[in-house]
Parts: sequence; structure tokens; C-alpha cells
Amino acid sequence: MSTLLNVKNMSKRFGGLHAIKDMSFSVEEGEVVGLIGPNGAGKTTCFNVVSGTSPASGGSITFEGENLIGKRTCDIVQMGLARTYQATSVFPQSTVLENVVRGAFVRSKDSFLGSLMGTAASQRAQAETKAECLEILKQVGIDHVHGELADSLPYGYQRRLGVAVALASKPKLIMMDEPAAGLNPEESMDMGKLIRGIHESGQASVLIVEHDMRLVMGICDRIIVLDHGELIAAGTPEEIRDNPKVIEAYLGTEAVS
Amino acid sequence: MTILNENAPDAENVGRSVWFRIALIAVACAVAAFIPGLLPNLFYVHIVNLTLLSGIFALSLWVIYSVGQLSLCHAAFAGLGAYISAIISMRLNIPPALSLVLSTLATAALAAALGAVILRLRGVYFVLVTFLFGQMFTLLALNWAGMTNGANGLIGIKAVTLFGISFGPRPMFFYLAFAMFLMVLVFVWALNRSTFGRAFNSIEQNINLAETCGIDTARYQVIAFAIGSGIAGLGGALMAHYIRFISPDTFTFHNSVAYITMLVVGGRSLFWGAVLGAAFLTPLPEFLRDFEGLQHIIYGAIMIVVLRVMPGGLISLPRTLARIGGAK
Amino acid sequence: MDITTLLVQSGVNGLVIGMMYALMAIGFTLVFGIMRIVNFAHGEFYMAGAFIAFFTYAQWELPFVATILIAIAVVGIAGAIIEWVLIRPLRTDELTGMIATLGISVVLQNSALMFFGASPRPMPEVVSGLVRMGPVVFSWSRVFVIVAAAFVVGIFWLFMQKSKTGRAMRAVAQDQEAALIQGIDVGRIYPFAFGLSVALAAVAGALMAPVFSVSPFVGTAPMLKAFIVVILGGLGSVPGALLGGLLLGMIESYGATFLGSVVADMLELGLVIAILLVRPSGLMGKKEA
Repeated sequence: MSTLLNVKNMSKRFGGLHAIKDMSFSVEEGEVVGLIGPNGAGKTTCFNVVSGTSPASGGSITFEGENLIGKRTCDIVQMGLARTYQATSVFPQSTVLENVVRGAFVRSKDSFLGSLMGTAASQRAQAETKAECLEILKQVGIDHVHGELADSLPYGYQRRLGVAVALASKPKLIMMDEPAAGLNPEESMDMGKLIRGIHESGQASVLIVEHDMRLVMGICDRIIVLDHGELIAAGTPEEIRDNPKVIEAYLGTEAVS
Repeated sequence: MTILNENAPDAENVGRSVWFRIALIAVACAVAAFIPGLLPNLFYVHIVNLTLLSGIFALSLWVIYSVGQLSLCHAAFAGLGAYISAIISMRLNIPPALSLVLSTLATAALAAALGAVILRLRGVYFVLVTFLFGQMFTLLALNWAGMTNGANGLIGIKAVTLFGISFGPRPMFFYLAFAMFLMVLVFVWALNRSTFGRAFNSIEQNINLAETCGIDTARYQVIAFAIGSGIAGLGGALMAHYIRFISPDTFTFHNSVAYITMLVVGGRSLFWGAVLGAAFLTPLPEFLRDFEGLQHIIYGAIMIVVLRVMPGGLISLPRTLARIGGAK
Repeated sequence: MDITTLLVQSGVNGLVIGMMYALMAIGFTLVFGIMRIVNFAHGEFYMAGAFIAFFTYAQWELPFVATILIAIAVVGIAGAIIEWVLIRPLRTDELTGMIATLGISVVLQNSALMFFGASPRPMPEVVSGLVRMGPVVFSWSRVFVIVAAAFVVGIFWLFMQKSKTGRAMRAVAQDQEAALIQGIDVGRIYPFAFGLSVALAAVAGALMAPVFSVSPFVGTAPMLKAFIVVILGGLGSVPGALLGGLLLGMIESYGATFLGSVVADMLELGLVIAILLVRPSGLMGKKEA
């Protein structure tokens, strides 16, 4: 097992506010890691900094040994680190399949000049990408609606589409920001199965921020806990469940169920 | 515009549709060959020529719009192309056919440089900065008299000559304008279904997600701005060698607004909406000549009415009618 | 002319145009803050104010105070109706609303052109005479414009701070959803804010009518300046618009005196573009969420 993501002493300040202080953690190949913490603990900020949407104020972040600090999101994605968003994030006016094809944009063998001229090679490349994307849609279980506009999908399907778009870039690590938020218990379980499946098929490692404790405890190999921008605990789900610091952090905000 | 990217069908089908399109273009050319002869007088030829130029401006503005940005300095880039081509052809004695190409490239390069700086802004902020840039261009054209001859403008710009044929007379310029328009149309169509088109549309629909798809949104926005503004430069240069006179008045804020109107009235979602808007609005003032003074009011009113009644523009007319018909 | 005279006179001129810019920019920024609309027709309401002043004051010879009140009432009500009938349905997205105001601008300007013709009409001064302070000479009419504009801005400020509607408007500008939850009727605020905004532009137009002349095109330059001022002061910030207006007036006046107006104009545009790029929220604006 080798280390994919390695975060060392990362910090993030907004003006005088310390959103993240000295945070260190790593994600190994083949792992599903959960990142939990009460509301406002800095989880989404952590994702934003790692994925390059918002610059770090200090520390180091590496992916497969390569520095990520100062890199733009699009470059980080090309290195194999994809992410999904907390709310649904799709291309609303495009079909479901086209959404996934866009996720595969950087991998596609299609060239600009080829596609401008509409050459046979370009057609082949497009057909190939489409076939691959249909496979991904099958995996997330929404291939039967591939021709619909993303906008018209029910919420649960849009969340899955978001995962499919991220998967299409063939990432080594996929960061999911509350994939089960707003889903009913049944949908949430399906999402858990989907994430487990991504992991078990060896497609990608997963770093997941989630509020649904049952989901996190059920699918994660390891959990790290963030409170007030600081890492307060790390360990297996069992260790976390019994950690007094974690219980304290959650008390008064939400109970660990 | 997404629909065009959608159905890349099997090779056989594509082959047929390519031939179909080539046939369509051939037919269009054949019809075009007779247009100057069929029109009752030179004035109508002139209107058709202006319409073709408007088509180029509106199409090029659409390219910028396709990444979700509205440029209020489109006329300034048309003006840049016009002035560059006029000045280098007059001062350096470069044949206009060549100066057209050079000015297009120069305008695109300048737009790329400007775009790299200003495209980090989106929405209103981008609109405002392009508005200011347009004002700067007007000021510069008015006051850099040594180059532009100030408010008096440049007169005596040479007509385009190619292989000994002068495209100065109105019916001859028609062929040049038509060829250029067709070239731009085909290029924008191909661009739209290329990988660039896919990137542009991704940015327009959801710029954050586009970035997390690995699309270099900053770069593609600059590309779209440079292509769109470069084509506007080509249109401006064509106009300079056709009218043979340019002044700062030819490329003001109001012209930029006119191009936006074409886009809105024609329909913003597909590139040929721009063509339709240009074809509808350019000849319109001529038909409204009987209502002296009223024509611009009608122009503005049409813009508001279209926004209100058909937000999708003229290209959505069939759908709107179908809906109304279905409702009955 | 010695340097003191030059400095003082440029200062007075700077205050005059600065107050005009502030009046324009306050209304402009108010509408942006509340409705998220860039009103490209703002200058046409200035023009309307100037024409109203011309007809009521120069032709019908009403007292100037009445002129101002008529301008506020007529333009304010017309603005509210325009918001209600034309702009409201088109606020679906930022760009559509902006394009709608472009259309309104074209219609208004050309209507004025059709009815009143293009030639500029001069208008008599409201107060005459010269102020002499040692070597420094300037006209009372300039002082009048400065004082009157400051008075209007003062009343507007009091209204925004003290009245219920004013506070509701500020709440909507700050956070629309929160304002909705507090039971503020946003649907009624919009036409009111738009009417108020363009009424301020009309006041500016009426006050400046004797200083410049009156024609269908007089609104274009002040609108351009209002743009620049709100970028300087921050889109949506009323204090920023006031300060930005005065600052720009001063920069322009002194710039024109010492550098020439063309250089000053170019410098001004360059400065504003630089500010937009470095700090798009302006000198006093809030960060965009």
C-alpha cells in the first residue's frame, strides 16, 4: 500500500479566522477514509483547499508525492484527484450521458482539430468515450435515463450523476462532500453500496465527508475527526465511536448515533 | 447547443450528414451567385451586404457568449480590426486581402492579452469592464489623431482586390462578404461541436463543475474571447474596405448594443440564432424608414417585447407557437 | 491666473461635478444592491430630469423648487411603473435584466430625440452673480448646485436610516432571504427602490441643466461616470457611491486642469479597470458571496 494523499500541517485562514489549524492526515491506496466533525468544523474548507479551489495558508499537500499547493483545480483533477460537491452539481441543460462524457473530457482521445473537422478518428474516440461513460452510468445505476436532461432527474439520481461525472476522469482518489445529504434512508444505503463498490472494485480510494453516521461507520476503513479546524481524533470506526473527545465535540451539537 | 454535441452517431450516418451539409453549402453558394442580379437595385445589394457583416458580428459575439460571458466591447474589437487593416493597408501599402488576415490575427492577439487579464471576472463585473474598455477604445480612436485622424475618420480606404478582381463595387463585395460569412458560419458550427465547444458549453452551464472535470476554464474562456473578438476584427476590417471610410462613430457602445440585440432577438441558445437576429434586425431600419424617428424606438421596443414574449428568441418561435397551439 | 485661484476654482468645479456623480451613482448603486440589476437606462432618467427642468423652469417659469419636486414625482412614478411592467418579468437572470434596461435606454433616448429634436437647449441660471474672495472668483450658481445636491443627499440618507421603508430597503440589499423571512414585502420594495433611484438621477439632471445644456444625449456621460463611480466605491455601496463620486469629481477637475482632459479621461478609465481587476468589490464594497 502506498500513500496517495498526504496532508501535513495544512492551515487555512480567512482574515483573522482560523478555519483549519495544522491539520495532518493521509489517505492510502485502496482505503475509504471518513472525515467527520460537527457543523462548521472545516470539512468542506478542507476539501476546497485540497482540491485547489481555495489556496492554503500554510503546510504541505502532496498527491503521490507531487506537490498540490499552488496548483489549479483542473490540474489536480488531471493528476487523479477528483471531487464531488455538497449540493448537486451537474450540467443541467445536457443529457445524463453528456454530463459523464464531460467528466471524461481530459481523458478523451479526441483532439481539437479532429473534432473540428469531424474526422473518423475523432468519431471513433467519441464513440469509445461514450461506451465507457455508459459503463460508469451502469455502475451508479442510472444508465436507463442516459438520454434525459440532467435537470429533469430526481434529486437522488442527480447525486449519483455527480459521482459518475467524478468517476469519469478515472481518479485514483475521489473526494465526496456529503454524498448522502438530502437522501432518504434507502437511497442513502444505496449510495453506501455504490461507494463500497467503487472501493472494492479497486477503481479508486475514497475520502468522504458525511453526516450520516451509520453510512460513515459502515463503509469507512478509517475515520478522522475535525473540530474547530483541528484534528481531534483518528482511527477505526470502533475507536472513534468510543473516543471521549469525539463524543464531547458532538455533544450539544448532534449525537453520534 | 448541447444537443449538437450529443448525438455523435455511427460513422455511416456521419458520413451521410457531412455530404448532406456540403450539398447544402453548395446549394447556398449557387443561389447566392444570382442574388446581386435578382435584387431590384444597388441599394438592396448594400442592405444584403450589411446584413452579412452583421451576421459575422453577431456570430462572433455568440462565441464569447457561449462561455457565459457578455461582451460590451464587441464593436471596439470590430473597430480595432477595421483601423488596423485600414492603417496598414494605407500606410504600409499592404494589399487589403493580406491586411484583412493580419488585422484579424492582431485583433485576436490583443483580445487574448486583454482576456487573460479580465476574464477572471464574471457576470456584471465582466460586462462592466468590457464596457469601460469599449469607452477607452472610442477615446483612443478620437484622440490619437496621428494614427486615426480623430473624429474625421479615415477616408479613401482601398477596396479588397484578389487575383486582379476588385471587390469594391457592391455586387462584387457581396460575393466576398458571402464567402466570408459562410466561412465564419461553418467555422463556428464546427467549433461548437468540437472539443472546444464542449469545454465552452461546460463553462457556460457550470463553471465550477467544468473545472473539476479537469477543463482549464481560464484558458478556454480566453480562447473563446480571442476567437470571438478576432472574428469581429475580421468583420470590422471587411467593413472598412467596403464602406472605405471609418470613424470612431462606426464602432461605439451603441453598435455593441446592436450586436447584443441581434443575439437576444435571434435567440441566444444556438449559434444560428445570431444569424437569424442579424438577418431580421439589419434590414429592419430600412423598412421602418417611413416612420422617420420612430425606427430606433421600434428597435428598442422589439428587443424588450422579444425578451418578454419569447425569451428564447426567434429560433424558439416554432416551439412557442406549438405550445400556444397545444394549449388551445 | 495664479496657482491658488486655479486650485480653488478647480476644487469648486470638482465639487459640482462630484455631487452630480454622487447623485447619479447613489441611485445606480441602490438598484444594483437591491435588485442585482445594472441599469443601463439610468442616464435617460437624468436626461428626463433635465428636460423637465427646462420646460417647467425655463418655459413655464415655475419656481425652481417646484421644478425639482415635479422632476422627482414624475420620474419617480414613471420609474416605478417601468420596474413593475417591464423589468420585473425579465429579472430571470442578471444578463437578461441588463439587456432589458439597454432596450429601455434606446427607447427613452430616441423618444426624446423624436419629440424634442437633437439640438441642445441652453437654460438660464437659477441664481446669478459671482462670489469674490480675494483673487478667487466663481459663480453663485455653482455653489447653489453643490448645496442643493448636498441637501438632497442628506434627505435621502435620513430616509434610508430613519424611515421604515428605507430600513427595509437596506435589509433587502443586505440579505434578500433574511428580509423575506422578516416579513418585508420585497415585491413592493423593488418598484419603490427603482423609482427612488431614477428620481435621484432626475434631480441630478435638473440641477445640472443650467450648468450644461439640455438635449436627448445629456444622460450618456453621467451614466458612464456613474458606472465608474460605483466601481470605485463598490457595487451596491451607497456611502461608497457618495465618496467615489466626490473623489472622481475632484480627480477629474484637477486632472483636467493640470494634465488635459483627454489624458485625465484615459487615466481615469485605466485606474478603474485596474481597481476592478485587483478589488472587484470596490474600495468600500462588500465581498461578493
